[in-house]
Amino acid sequence: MRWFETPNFDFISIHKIAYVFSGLLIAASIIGILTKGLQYGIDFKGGKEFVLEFSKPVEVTQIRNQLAGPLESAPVVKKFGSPQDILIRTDNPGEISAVQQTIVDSMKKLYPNISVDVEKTDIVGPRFAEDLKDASFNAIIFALIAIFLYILVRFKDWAFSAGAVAALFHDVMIVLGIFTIFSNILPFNLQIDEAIVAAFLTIVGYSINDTVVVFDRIRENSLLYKTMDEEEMINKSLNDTLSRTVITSLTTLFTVTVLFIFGGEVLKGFSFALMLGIIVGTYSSIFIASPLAMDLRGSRQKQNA
Amino acid sequence: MKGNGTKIGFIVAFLAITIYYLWPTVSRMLEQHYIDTLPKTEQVQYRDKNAQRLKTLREESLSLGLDLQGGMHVTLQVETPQLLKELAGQSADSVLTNVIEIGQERAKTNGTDMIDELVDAFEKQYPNGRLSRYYRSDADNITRRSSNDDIRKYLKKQRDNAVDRAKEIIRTRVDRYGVTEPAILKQGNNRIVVELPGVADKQRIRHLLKGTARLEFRLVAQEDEISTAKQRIVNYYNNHNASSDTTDTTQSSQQNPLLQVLNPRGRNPYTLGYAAGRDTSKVNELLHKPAVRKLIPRNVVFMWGATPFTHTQNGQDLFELIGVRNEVELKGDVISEASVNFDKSTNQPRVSMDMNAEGARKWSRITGANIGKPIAIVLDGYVYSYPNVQTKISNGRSSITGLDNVNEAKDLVNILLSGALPAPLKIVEERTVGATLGEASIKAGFYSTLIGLIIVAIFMIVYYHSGGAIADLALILNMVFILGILAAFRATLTLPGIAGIVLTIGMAVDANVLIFDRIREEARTGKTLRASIEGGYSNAMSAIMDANITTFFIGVILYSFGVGPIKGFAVTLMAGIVSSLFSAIVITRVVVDYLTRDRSSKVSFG
Repeated sequence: MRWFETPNFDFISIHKIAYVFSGLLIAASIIGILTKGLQYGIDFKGGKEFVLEFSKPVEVTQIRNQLAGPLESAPVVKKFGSPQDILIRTDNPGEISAVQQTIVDSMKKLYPNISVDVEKTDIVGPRFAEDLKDASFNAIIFALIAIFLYILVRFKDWAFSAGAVAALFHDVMIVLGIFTIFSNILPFNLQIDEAIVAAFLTIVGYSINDTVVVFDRIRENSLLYKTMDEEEMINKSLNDTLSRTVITSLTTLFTVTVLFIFGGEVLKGFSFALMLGIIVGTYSSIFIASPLAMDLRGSRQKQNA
Repeated sequence: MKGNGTKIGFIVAFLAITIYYLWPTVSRMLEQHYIDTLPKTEQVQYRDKNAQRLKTLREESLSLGLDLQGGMHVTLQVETPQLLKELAGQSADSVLTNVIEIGQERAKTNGTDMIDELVDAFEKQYPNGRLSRYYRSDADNITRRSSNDDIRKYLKKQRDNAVDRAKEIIRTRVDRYGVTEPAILKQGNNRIVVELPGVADKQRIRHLLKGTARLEFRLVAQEDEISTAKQRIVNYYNNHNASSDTTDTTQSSQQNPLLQVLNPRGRNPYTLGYAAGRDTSKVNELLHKPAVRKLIPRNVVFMWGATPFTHTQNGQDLFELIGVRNEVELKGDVISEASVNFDKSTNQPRVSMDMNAEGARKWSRITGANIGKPIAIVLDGYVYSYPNVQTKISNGRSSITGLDNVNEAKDLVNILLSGALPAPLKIVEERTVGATLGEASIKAGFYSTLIGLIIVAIFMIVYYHSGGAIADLALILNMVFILGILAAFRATLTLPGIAGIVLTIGMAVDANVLIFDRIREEARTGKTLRASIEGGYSNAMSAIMDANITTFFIGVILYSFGVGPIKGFAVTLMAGIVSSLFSAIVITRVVVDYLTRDRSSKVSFG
């Protein structure tokens, strides 16, 4: 089977449209983040989270109402996969054991005939959360700098570095925007926690992978076709690698989708971030990274002339 | 075909190493399977008989993370401010307390070391002052003349020691509790990470880990001191209530913020009153106001009883607030032996303690001087009991009563005997996963891997024909290699780790996609199959390397910032990159070369 055998799409001529499209997406993300605020999970905010497993399906609203009093503030109560598994998140500052006891006691009072087990607890202190957040932020910045430098060394042209890092920034911003805007709309956990940051870094790694393959081809073609004009050559390189870009994106998207469907509730947010990241990352390595590198080089050449 | 001898050699060697490292894991699984088929009684016998061998197998096989096998992950923080105050001992004053607080605050905002911030703050406030007026140590050569820089080094060293000692003490406690394969690690300069697989009673573990077991014997304050203080404080809050403009005194108990949470009618003269468990922190807050502190005699402190002395009709536990002396008569470090037994009259569990010679001598003096008066037995700031001294005790014996149950008594003995922590520990992070959820995660991970593998394998065959089949072979070997690498590095398989493997399945074929697409391209230019293959492999190499090196970077960064399960993800990601490069480049090349060794083409790249 062959797709994109000898494709000859004109990517470059539509790159301005892609810039506008991406610009709008990023603007929407930024507006979403500014108005709604980043939806931090307890990893970065601190708090207590419990997953209870009931022996029979239970009602989320009943549980929320039952707990509001004893916990002294309304907790977040959500389904955790099945209606028998319930996630409860609270800011109650009390001692861990006491809070857990309060929750379990309230549940026993609410459902005297249903047994309940605490299947998962995550308790993060505010100071520790702060540290985790700083470390995660640093990791992302550090990753972007490392990639910038690697591409600078490997391709000896800062325009490539800048194009690649801008595309990565684009990917992370858009996924972050989607996570923020849809955080309470989609039925699974879209809060930003450590696993999501790991997913972001993976997206960065994945997207750079795609971008570098195209850059590599541009470098090779620029040695082969010395007379070809730059726009045409970049377009050719994008077309040359298109089959590979699509196939790899597909296989990766397959596996990540499998993870999203079969990987269980714990990995839902993580694999959702990866799914979005692969789609956005593939798009950006074709429509953003290379055209941007080209534009940056172009503007520099004009300056030099 | 030249040079493939080395490649084959590599493949064989790599496979052999993988099998060597994975063998304990496989045999442990088989062993487990065999044990499960035995009847219950024989299972125990079998385990006993082969205990040593099973232990070795367990240690050498690929271990599962807490999120897969269930268990508890706790990060404890050594409370540096308290440690610094305690190191200063009697010479600690308000100046020191103040700079410690400033240091703590600045460290929080600047993300710096609080000891550095403390020294800076002190030097700024007292340019000619010396911290050596607070700290003295012969062992570390810290004298009155020591410079602030020496003190800084000394304090950091003391903190390191405290964390190390706390780590050892926690290890002892965990071992005595009986957890298999606990992991206890130092993190940063003041944190300790404790990983406990398969523990069920979280509450007990929490107490066990952070229990400082600061055992103190204090005299109880005099009755009139307490009653005077009580009157003054109640009066104070009568006049300083939320709506102080009301003149209606009959409603004073509703208006008095203290009396709303504290009932001043204690059952005996040594208490300030009693309160419900949830109100105790409110009471503490009210009593800690500077103006109120002044109403309490200098040498009296109020401490809560450890266990409720009674409860209300609707089941709320009530705790007493007991007035004790500020001075500590005797500390827990004199305890040489401790054991659990039962009170003959009440049948309640209690902890009996023996003191060393020096402790026994002091105890004898203290009890002798206070016959007929109560002495409070205080543990971690809570009064467990305050029995009246009947007679002088000269054999150095004492006991702690008022314990909830036998387990609490056992843990207390454990804590007392493993030594007191150098400074209080606080739980700053705790994550637990139940066994059921862990099992569900293992299943979810296994099915995701399998389904992902099947989909990608079928896709590759459809798209690249026999070339795809070769890539699939490499992919399957790749899976085995990843597990081998994880086992060899004693890495732990976590749920995000499995996610990393699933992701690797999708990304591992990338190298082959690059190569095969290149081969197709070469073939389009009219080259022979052999020449196209040669060209495809060599021309794709630079793109493959660049792409994988950048992804590997990400793995390294993830590994260095992530904690727990995320580290597992980073490890599998890196292992996946290394092994997929090897499988996709070396293994497929050998197979492709072998199949095209004569002119008749047997390989198709679709």
